Parts: sequence; structure tokens; C-alpha cells
Amino acid sequence: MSGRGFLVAGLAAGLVVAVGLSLFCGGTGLPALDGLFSATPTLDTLILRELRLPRVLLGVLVGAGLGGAGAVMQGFFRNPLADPGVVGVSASAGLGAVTALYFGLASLFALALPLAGVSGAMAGVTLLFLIAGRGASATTLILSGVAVNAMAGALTALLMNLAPNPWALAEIAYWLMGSLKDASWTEIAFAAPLILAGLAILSTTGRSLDALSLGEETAVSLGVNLRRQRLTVVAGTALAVGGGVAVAGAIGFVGLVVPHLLRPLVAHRPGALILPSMLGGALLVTLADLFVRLMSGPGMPLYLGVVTALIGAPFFLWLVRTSQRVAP
Amino acid sequence: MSRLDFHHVDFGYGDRLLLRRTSLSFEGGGIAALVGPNGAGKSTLLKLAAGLLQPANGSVALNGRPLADLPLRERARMIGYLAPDGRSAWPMTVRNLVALGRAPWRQPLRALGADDRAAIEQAMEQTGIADLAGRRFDTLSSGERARALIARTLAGRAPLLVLDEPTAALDIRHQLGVMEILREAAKTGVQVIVAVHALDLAARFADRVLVMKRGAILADGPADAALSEAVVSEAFDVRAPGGIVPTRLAPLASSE
Repeated sequence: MSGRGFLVAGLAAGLVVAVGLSLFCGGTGLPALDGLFSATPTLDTLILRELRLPRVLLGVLVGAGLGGAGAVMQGFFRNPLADPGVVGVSASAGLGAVTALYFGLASLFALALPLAGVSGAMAGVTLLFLIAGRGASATTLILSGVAVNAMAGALTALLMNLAPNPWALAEIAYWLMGSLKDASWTEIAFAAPLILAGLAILSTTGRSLDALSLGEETAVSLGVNLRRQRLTVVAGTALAVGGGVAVAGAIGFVGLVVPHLLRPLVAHRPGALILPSMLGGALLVTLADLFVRLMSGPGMPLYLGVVTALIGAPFFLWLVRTSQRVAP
Repeated sequence: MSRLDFHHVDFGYGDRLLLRRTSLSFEGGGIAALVGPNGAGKSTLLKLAAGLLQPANGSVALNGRPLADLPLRERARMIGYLAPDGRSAWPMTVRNLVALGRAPWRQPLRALGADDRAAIEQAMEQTGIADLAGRRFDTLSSGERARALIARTLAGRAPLLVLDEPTAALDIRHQLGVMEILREAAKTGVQVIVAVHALDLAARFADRVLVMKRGAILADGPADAALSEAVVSEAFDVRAPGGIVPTRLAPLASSE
């Protein structure tokens, strides 16, 4: 088995352990397993089956989407600072979802919310590619991200400004903080196919990302169809991030931190980084959500997006500092 | 053997035409060196030759087939291209970097095959970097980086190599080393088209020299004719009494 094989196996094993911990830590413990498939479940079993299991599964999906999208964006832009949150894709997905919430589309049909999230993400990432698409420097990319973030933020703020009542406002505000606490099987049913499709699309980009390490012209000379790859990255990112943001809100910095930590373990090959980043993203979100759940008191719900941002933002600062230093 | 033909090629950026009705042929192997002042259109010509730019009018054809009609993968197997900037976005190991050259030959989801590994090892041998295989690209010297990138280009085993200033920013010994690698490749029947700045290098290593200025080809032929006093003064606005003579320098470690 190669070094990367060990890494993937290790991350998968870690994920299984984290999922197990997450399922059985807290108010209900292992005994809940007894009645998992029985027709007359106990309360503990119901909590496990209807609350905790979908919450953990959604965390795995959302984390995998963010980690995978981060790895692919970093590879495509050849820039370790690219992250769905930093460059505004998450905020655009959020805008799409808030629009659906605001105009009541979300209550018309259940798929509206995730689809609106994906559409928002698609718009954001397309805008980003239009501004920073061709061989953009790190500065251009980040500035474009700032612009996309600002645009999505402004429109979201407008909708909040015009919110018909304080409850609608509060709903949007809490939702934007990012949380898995309201996850149910319904959310899974709608978000999972979108996220999984996104992950599948992102997985096909490995060889092209490797070739892109040496620049766009070299990649094209090696047979990479750049236009098709760009569309693939847009579609994959929008599905993987948008589907997750729509049901869980903006959970920032996962796509930044995870690929960065795993990159040295795959000898810095951008293509080899995609699968480990999906697993690592799933692992990070699962653990962070477990932490959030254990820390939240009855009167003090802690939001997952707040926690990942508190960890991620200083990391981002540090990354900006170190990448400035080594940039040629 | 491969044959590359430019037929009445027009190409420009924006409104301004750089190349006008340029017709050229490359065949029969050997090294064709492209020289000329900055902005003469060397890189543009090379990108057209590699199929990375499409002519506005006219055609560039490989063995009679226009490059624009070739599937990308097939073109990539026939033409190896070395970009001028010579950087890698990520600090990969030398072996992984050289392995990128096998991209046109690899099947989806398959690991490197025996052919791939043999080509990678051979390319590293040819460029004298076999002992650096496990080193990270960012820890290499400029000369080692240039060799690793050339090895990447050679690993594709394309019959036509297009190289944009592989000797840029190298000292004289490493420039000679790079040109010798290209000469060895040309001996195996590969057609090499290379842009260089050092005229003495072109004079010494090239079987054919093309002198460019403002998109036009001022001279095309054996070095002693193409790099005559008159051509050099017209192309570069410098005096070169007697024309350019090949350098007699050779690296101490070389076989010469």
C-alpha cells in the first residue's frame, strides 16, 4: 500500500471512530442500539435514529463537500488560500438559500432550498472564474473573493433588512451561522444527492490538477481541456458546497484548513489530495459538531459555523503570512 | 519522424498582426534554434507550433493534419512543450514532476504502468537528475530545476519538442548542459524547436537558426549564414563584426 493508501485508510478509520463517538456521546448511550430496528422504539432509540444519526450523516456530507471543494479549488487556482468560504462561494450559496427562505420558495417544495443554494453557489463561483479565471495571481484571486463575498453579503443584508418580521430575521441570522442541529432525514434526502454528485464530479479532476501545477499552458500542452475542466470545477464546487450550505448554513474554513494540513502527506500532489481532503473535511466537521453539541447548554446553543470560523480565521491569517514569505 | 508545417499563418494580439503570412517547415529531426530580440514573436511562434495558439488565418499542420483538428490527447503525445516560466505551483518531488509528462499516455484511474516508469527513469537519466528523484522541486538549484522540467518534457517521448527558453537564467555551464541534452535528444530523431537568447549557443548547437524581428523571419538557415554580421545588426541593432561564432566553452564534466 502506498503512503497515500495508508493516509486514506487512516482518515476513513478516524471518520468511523468519530462518527461512532458522535452517535453515542451525550444524553443517550449505547443501550439505544437495542431498539434501533424495532417497531416500538424507546425514546433513546428515537433520539439516536431521528435526531443524531441524520445530524452526524449530514455533517459527514457537508464536511466532505467542503474539504473536497477546497482541495480542488486550491489545485485549480494553484493557490493554497482558495477556499469556498474565503472566495465567496459559501456566501453566494447562502444568498441563494436566504432568497428561497425569504420568498417562501422553501416552503413551496422541499427541494427548493438546496437547489437555491446550489444556484447561488454556481453564480458565485462563475463570477469568481470570470474575474480571476485565467492564471490569476494570489492577490487577484483573494480580491475577487472579497468582491464576491461583499456582493453576496450585501444582497443577503438587503433581504434581512427587508425581512417582514423579527422572527424571519432571526431565522435567517441563525441559519447563516451554520449549524447541523436541525438536521433531519428530509434534509439528508435532498442534500445528499446534490453533494454526492458534486463529490463525484470533483473526483474526476485529479489528473488535470496535477498537470495544472506547471501552469495553464503546460497543462493544455499535456492534453488538458481547460474550458471543460473549468466547467467541471464550477459544477462540482457548486453542487458540493451549495447543497451543504443550503441545509446547514455557512460552515467556514473547512476547505481551507483540511487540504493545507493534508497536502504534505500526499507529497504535495494536488490530484492525490482530493479524496483525503473529502475524508478529512468529513472528520473535522464531525468532531467540531460533537464539540459544539457537548458544549451547548440548554439556554446556550453554540453554532458550528461560529466554532469553525473561530478556529479557521487565525489559521487563515497564519497561512497568508507564511505564503507571503515563500511566494516567489 | 514528424513534419510540422506553417502555411500562410497570420497571428496577432488585439488589432496588431505579429506574424503575417508566415510559412515554415520543420522536418527531419535536429535542432532548430529561434533567436531574436525581446518581443520578436519567438514565444508566439512556439505556441503556434505547439498548438497552444490558433492562427487567425492559415494553418499549422503536423504530418499534414491541422493542429486545431487533432484531439488534445493525440496532439499532446506528438508535441512536447516547455513553457518559459519554469515554475511548479506545489513543491512536488522531482520524480512526481517528471511523471506529469506521461499525462497524455495515461488511462483514467490507472496507476503508472511499466512503460510510464521506464520513460520517467530514462528522462531523468538523460538529464542527469536520477539522483535527485526524491528531492522536492523547491529545494533544487536553478540549473537542477531547468533539467527537471526538461526531463518532464522528454518523458512524454514526443517526436517534436518545442522549448521556450530552457536556458534562461542559467549560468554558462548549465546552458551548455541543457543544450547538450537537447542535442542528445535530437540524435534519436526528435525534432527540437527551441528559443534561445545566447546567439553563440544557437551557433554552436543548432542545425538550423531562425532569426526573428517584429514577427518577421529575417534569416533561416545554417548558423554561419543566418547569424551573419548583416543579419545580427539588423535584428538586434548591435555590431557583431564577422558574425556570431560558436562558443568554444564546454563544461568540465562533459564528455567533450
